[in-house]
Amino acid sequence: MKDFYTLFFIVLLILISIATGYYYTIYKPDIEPLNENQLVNEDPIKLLNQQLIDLELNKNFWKNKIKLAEKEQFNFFIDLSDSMATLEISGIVAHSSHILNYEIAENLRMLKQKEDIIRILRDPLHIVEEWSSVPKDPIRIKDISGHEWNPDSLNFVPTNMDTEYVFIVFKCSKEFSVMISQRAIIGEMPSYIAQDHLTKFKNLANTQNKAKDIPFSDLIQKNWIGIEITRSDAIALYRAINEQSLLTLCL
Amino acid sequence: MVHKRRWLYVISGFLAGILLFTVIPLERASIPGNGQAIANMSYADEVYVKKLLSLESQIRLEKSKVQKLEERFEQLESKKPYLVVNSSKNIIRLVVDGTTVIKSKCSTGSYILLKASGQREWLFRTPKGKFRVTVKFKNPHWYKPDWAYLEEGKPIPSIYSPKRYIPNVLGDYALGFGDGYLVHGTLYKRFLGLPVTHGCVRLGDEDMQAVFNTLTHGSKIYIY
Repeated sequence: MKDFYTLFFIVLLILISIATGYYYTIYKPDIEPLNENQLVNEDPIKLLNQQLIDLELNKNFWKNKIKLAEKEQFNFFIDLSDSMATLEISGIVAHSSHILNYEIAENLRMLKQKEDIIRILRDPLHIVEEWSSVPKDPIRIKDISGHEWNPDSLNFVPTNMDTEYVFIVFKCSKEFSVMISQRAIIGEMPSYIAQDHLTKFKNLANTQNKAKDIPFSDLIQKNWIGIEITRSDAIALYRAINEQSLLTLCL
Repeated sequence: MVHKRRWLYVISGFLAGILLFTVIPLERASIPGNGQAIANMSYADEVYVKKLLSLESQIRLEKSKVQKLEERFEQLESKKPYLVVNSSKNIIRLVVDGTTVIKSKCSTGSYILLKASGQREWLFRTPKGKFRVTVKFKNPHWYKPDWAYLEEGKPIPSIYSPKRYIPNVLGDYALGFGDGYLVHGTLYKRFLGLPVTHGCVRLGDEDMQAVFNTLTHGSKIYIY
């Protein structure tokens, strides 16, 4: 009888061990909710969906490039997937510059809104308004009207364009804004943009800062991206773009 | 007493068994959707795999579409030689068969606005956009315009005066691209890379010779 009880307890212990192991390894439900990134990382379907959306954006981008290759004007292309900003005319890449860093609005990063982004970026964006810390045409005046025959007394007024920090904002159609800034050391920039390189975009856009001392704050809309390129590239791109130029993005 | 304890062991063991094999699965099944998921596990797996395969085939299709679009864009690029002028950096690129064969310094418009008496003014800027070579010269002469005399503080001669034709200042070669603007050589090589001209594009002698020999009438010049 004693053997029976010993056997009974051994069998019971084995059963309890198996059941406990089963419960805590195979059978335990995932009660912890996963965030969006975890879902994307863990679910192959979500990963593939993300890839499909990226390909859709890429396809639109190339379609627009081909469409705009027929135009005889400079158009501006930003390809974040390739980290390139290019200036193109008639299918010629006149100028290309590496995007050294970028920041995009929170709503453009959200997976759920990708369908909206595809819709927004399906066609090229028009530039509605622009602001820049450097002049479009760096004109210097040489006034000889009062003393035509005395070249030594020419009135020559240079600007300080070479020391000006470059920050450009394009207000585009479809509630989209594009900011371009030169990569610079903090302290070289005016106070309203003298923050950590990319957080300046975030703070300016996300806080909807409409302070009067920020001359371009009205140009920043809910969909925005900010890119950092070299100073000379920023100037070259800005000076080539005019009111007819179109802007195409691939996020 | 021993008998009672044995029965207690049996009953407690029995209850533990019931708890592990009945209550816990019930708890699991009570989570919304899970009971059904378990019941249809094989079907769900099948649907999941089908969806994965369908997405993968869609991705392959989309990738090939993007690839074709990229190839189409590359084919759009002109195979004929062309010149690109970056007037902000004062750099030119001569492109032949899609490859940059020369990348060198140049001089472009100074952006000086010259104001003279009688409300006459001239802005010395290089035009931007797409242009074509309209004319080619060897040993070009410079037709000195009014503003050049005003800048030097000299009297302006008649527009027909032969004094206006100045030799040996535009280098050995020049290409016209409309409205009197030229791509030409220069005597002022130390200024290459700087915006100092009255609107023309100045190149070094060797670069100018190569550009002159490569571009033909109608070749494209892109200035930005």
